[in-house]
Amino acid sequence: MSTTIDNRAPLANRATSMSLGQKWARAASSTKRPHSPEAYIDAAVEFKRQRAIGPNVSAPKHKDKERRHTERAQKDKEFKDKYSRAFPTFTFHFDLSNLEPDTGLRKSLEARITQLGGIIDDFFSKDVTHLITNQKGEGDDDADKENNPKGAISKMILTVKSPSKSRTRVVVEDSPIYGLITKAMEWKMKTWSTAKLDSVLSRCLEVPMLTALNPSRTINALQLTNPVQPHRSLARLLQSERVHGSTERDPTQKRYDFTYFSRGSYWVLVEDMRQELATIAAHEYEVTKGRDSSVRGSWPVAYCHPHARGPFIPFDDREKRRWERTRREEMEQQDERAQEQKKLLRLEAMKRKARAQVQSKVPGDLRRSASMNNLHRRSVLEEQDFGEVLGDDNIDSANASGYLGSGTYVAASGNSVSITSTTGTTSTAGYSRSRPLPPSLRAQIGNEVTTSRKLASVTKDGDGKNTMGPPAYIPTRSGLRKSRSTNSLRLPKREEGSKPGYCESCRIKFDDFKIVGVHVSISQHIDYASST
Amino acid sequence: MTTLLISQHSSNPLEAVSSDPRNVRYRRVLREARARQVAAEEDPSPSSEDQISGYAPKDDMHAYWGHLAQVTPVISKVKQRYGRKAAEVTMNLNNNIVDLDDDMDSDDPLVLKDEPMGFDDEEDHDAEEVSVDEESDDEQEEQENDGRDSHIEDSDEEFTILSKSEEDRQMILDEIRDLEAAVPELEESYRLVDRLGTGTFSSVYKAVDLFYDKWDNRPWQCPHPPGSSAHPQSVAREPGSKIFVAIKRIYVTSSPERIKNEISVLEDCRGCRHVSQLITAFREKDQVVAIMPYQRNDDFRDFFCSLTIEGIKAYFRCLMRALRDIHSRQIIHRDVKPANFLFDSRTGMGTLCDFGLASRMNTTVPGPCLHLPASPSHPHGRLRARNEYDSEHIKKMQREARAKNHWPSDRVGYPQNDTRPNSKANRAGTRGFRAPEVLLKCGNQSGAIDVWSAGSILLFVLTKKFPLFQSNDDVEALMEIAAIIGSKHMEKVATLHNRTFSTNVPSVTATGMTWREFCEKQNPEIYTPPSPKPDFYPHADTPTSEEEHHQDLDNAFDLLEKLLHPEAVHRITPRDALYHPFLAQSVGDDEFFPHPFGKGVCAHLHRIDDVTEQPSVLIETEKGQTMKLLENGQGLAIGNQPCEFHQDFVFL
Repeated sequence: MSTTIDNRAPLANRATSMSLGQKWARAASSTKRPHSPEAYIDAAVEFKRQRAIGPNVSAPKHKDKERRHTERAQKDKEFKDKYSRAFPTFTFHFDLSNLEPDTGLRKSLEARITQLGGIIDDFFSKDVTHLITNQKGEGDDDADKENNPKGAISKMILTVKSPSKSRTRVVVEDSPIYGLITKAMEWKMKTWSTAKLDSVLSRCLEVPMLTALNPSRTINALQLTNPVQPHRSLARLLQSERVHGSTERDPTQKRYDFTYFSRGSYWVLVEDMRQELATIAAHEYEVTKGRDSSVRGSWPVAYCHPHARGPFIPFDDREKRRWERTRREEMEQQDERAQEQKKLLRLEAMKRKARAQVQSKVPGDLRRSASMNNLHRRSVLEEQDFGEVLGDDNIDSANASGYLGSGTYVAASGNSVSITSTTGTTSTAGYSRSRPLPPSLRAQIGNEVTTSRKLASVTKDGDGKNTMGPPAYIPTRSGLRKSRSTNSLRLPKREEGSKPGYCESCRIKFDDFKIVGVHVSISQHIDYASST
Repeated sequence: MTTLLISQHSSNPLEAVSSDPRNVRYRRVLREARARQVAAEEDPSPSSEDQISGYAPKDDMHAYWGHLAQVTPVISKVKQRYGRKAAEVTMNLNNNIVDLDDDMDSDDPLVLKDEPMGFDDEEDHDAEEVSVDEESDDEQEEQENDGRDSHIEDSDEEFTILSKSEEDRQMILDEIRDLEAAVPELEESYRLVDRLGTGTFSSVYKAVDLFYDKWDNRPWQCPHPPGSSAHPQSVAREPGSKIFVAIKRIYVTSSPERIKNEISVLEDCRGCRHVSQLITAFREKDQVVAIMPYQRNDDFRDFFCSLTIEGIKAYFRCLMRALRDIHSRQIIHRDVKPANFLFDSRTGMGTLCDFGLASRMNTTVPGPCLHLPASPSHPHGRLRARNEYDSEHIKKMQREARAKNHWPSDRVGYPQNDTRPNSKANRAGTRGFRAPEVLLKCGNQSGAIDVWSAGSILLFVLTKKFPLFQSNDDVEALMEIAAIIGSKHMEKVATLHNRTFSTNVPSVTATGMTWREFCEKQNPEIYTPPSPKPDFYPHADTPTSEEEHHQDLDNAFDLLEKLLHPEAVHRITPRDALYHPFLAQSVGDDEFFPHPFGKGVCAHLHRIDDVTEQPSVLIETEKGQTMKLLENGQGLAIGNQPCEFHQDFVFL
């Protein structure tokens, strides 16, 4: 007996396990066995007891196969013994309204019952102990299993008319078939299906079952032979529908509890194939009809245009303008790079020349600067044979106007103003001012970043008159001020809105990440952080 | 090939001939290297190729083994076999190794840009985090590029902060002070000099390692042989030179589970090639910081258009090696993207970083999908046998789903208040890089998702467009993929993951297009060989011939098709990708594959300790055989070679 084996488990809870004497006393209705066919109350009591010895049943799990096998054989034997003994006390009633009127099945079942000494009563009365019906009783599908505590509970609840189940009872009372079953329950009868009866009979008589071995197929067979009577009543179907929704319907028919895509829209729907999980993805795209009967919407279209920024961006007018702009900028940048290169070369050449000039130490020439433009021109022209220039420079600078005939006429037009200026601040004035800014800088200059709020040093005089003219004195500042390159200039920080934060430990969200710093110093978080 | 020969080492600072005083140090190193080489009676006139043996392996390896012999009583006879073998390999490989030329300061920044999402748990904060803060990204990448064009020396690296704006500088200094206050221990060993990047769960700082020589660095440097592309990591740093590290400050608001996961994953990734190595980690109350080697890198946007085919190969070899090594350790990175793969376009060296979203593969419990979980023989899982699933039901559902495509749209619906449970699949990652199985919420994802992400990087390079996928959510991402691969493929993928896919969107055609068509359409000039870029690896200045270029592209497209196979089970594994004609090299990658602990030729001598769960090896002492506990990263068997503890064992 299974209980014997269970009790032997060394680690089982001795306090709750039954004494040997108790077990003997209850030999006929041991825990693992199906319930004895006595009054239903017994089953309820049984159920309670079962709870009490619960831990006992779930003792060690390492039973080997063999033991399980013998156990099952033992159980079968016990089952047979018990039911064979009990059958003469049983009175069966076949629920005619629900069972198919004339099949061989019922006849053979009746024959087997009588063989075991059971009584068949065509009249439904209190004397009947077992109601045979294929109509499912209230509660679970496995209400058939008398050992099932859930089934037992639901039946009990029904009999005590628990208010919590009142809604169910309303349904039950509506149905005549349920009436029979409810009556049966009230009278503490057992409700068996034909399949169960067949199974019990076949086990007691040790003959094959009348219906197929697979109990589920039994039901199917019954269903097939009985197309008029569905195996579930309307009430039951309604109830199941209330819980799970309908299963059999025309898929093209609309359902009230479904969300439908709107007419003429485009959509995508991803569902679980087993329909066990909620809809994986559903999305509807709105459609706007264009003038030329073309449809437009936000769904991705793989345009894959070579000049668009991405494959899903159409190369329309806007995109085309953008592309042209970037291409122009790119070209300009390339040109600029080339020019930059040239400029560097030129500057290099000029520097060399300047060095040469200093080295030659020509006396008498007080001009502090030469026209850069002319220097440029010359360096471009004479880049190759620059060596020659190194020695005899002064002639050139004297004829800076380029007009050789003029000799020493310095003030000729075209000469740089700076040559004649007496102030030291304009030596390179005019150079590159008029050149257009490179495109990469053009945008930046528009932003007008103030790098220094100081006004020019001349305003220090106090009288604002002098601001436009040359300064009254040479600025005392020694050396040139370093200019800041706009290239490396950083624009003021963009206002990007606050970055959201989230503390995964305390499960608190923040709108602003900066608040997190405050959060981590509050006691709740510190408690969490310092707890072991 | 010629490009390779010519170009390989031109960036090598040892070769730099210049009057620039900065190079004095380099020249000193060169002299020393030569001296060493002569001492080793190697080729008396060293070429650039020999610099490897010049400054690295032999002496260091020997010193290492000598040390091992001291520490572990009787591995008495340290065999020099390994060293000799290595030298042979080097000689044989000189022409093939592409990314050996490493700077003296061979470190790259470890940057965490956006780590957009969390794990899919009860909270829906994950969904909100999908929106990657691209803006902050840009800004930060900008910051990192300062001084990219010049050869950066230690001193420059130390003062990168000076190139930032006053405002930023102040902010960064504040942050650094804050971190130093939070973890006082840091100040004892590191001097923080700059910030490298910030992300959702952490920010990363650059620091000088003050006591590099004081510690045993071998567990994380790992003895990668000279032939291996990861060898530079194993080379001991010049004594006296400044060593930089990246310090990752994990925000205290991250859940302990996440922090633990990242640290443990990083520990397990010790020994993986081209993967940021965990040097050590500190904890002060709730603040955790991880220390990793610093690695110099370039912004992907700056080089992905100008990368030559050789450069592309170098990029993907590094990436695939990293993926191969981590996947073999049952780790999925989950967030492979350019921002998390630090690539130095001058040296062709790449490092996979940011394991904040990494997870471990489920290799045991098969889900409801039609494929099985990853297994050693099938790293991307395999299809179930036909009798293992209800094909009738599947066919029926497929038919129904397909029928819906033609229904009027107001007849197609789904439950309104769905009471069924939601799929609990992990969808951590970045939008635009998620594989179809992630988008379909497959519960049994494998390393194949990283391979898909790698494939999308190859797409950027081949289309010269970045980014390509701009979806805001998973449905849109799925539709973008569907618009390319077509509904038939999509339905097949959906079925593989136990899903049905139906849509009536007109842009989703039945057959779609191949990835090759996708690239060719967007980049019609792809077949004209690009002009060589001497600035970038491999520094070639001779253009490739047209046939060569065509051949390379054919191979590249073939690989692309395999990397972006929508069905995970058929997607190419990183190992096979390394043997694909596009990436294959004359010496197979298996030769340099660092086996996971307990695999390789000396596997039977390796064990995980029952009590401490630490790795341990069986070694011989005077008293007989004993077990020695190891650090993660030690006991690394590479290719068909035994680990450093079993050099003198004979394996048949």
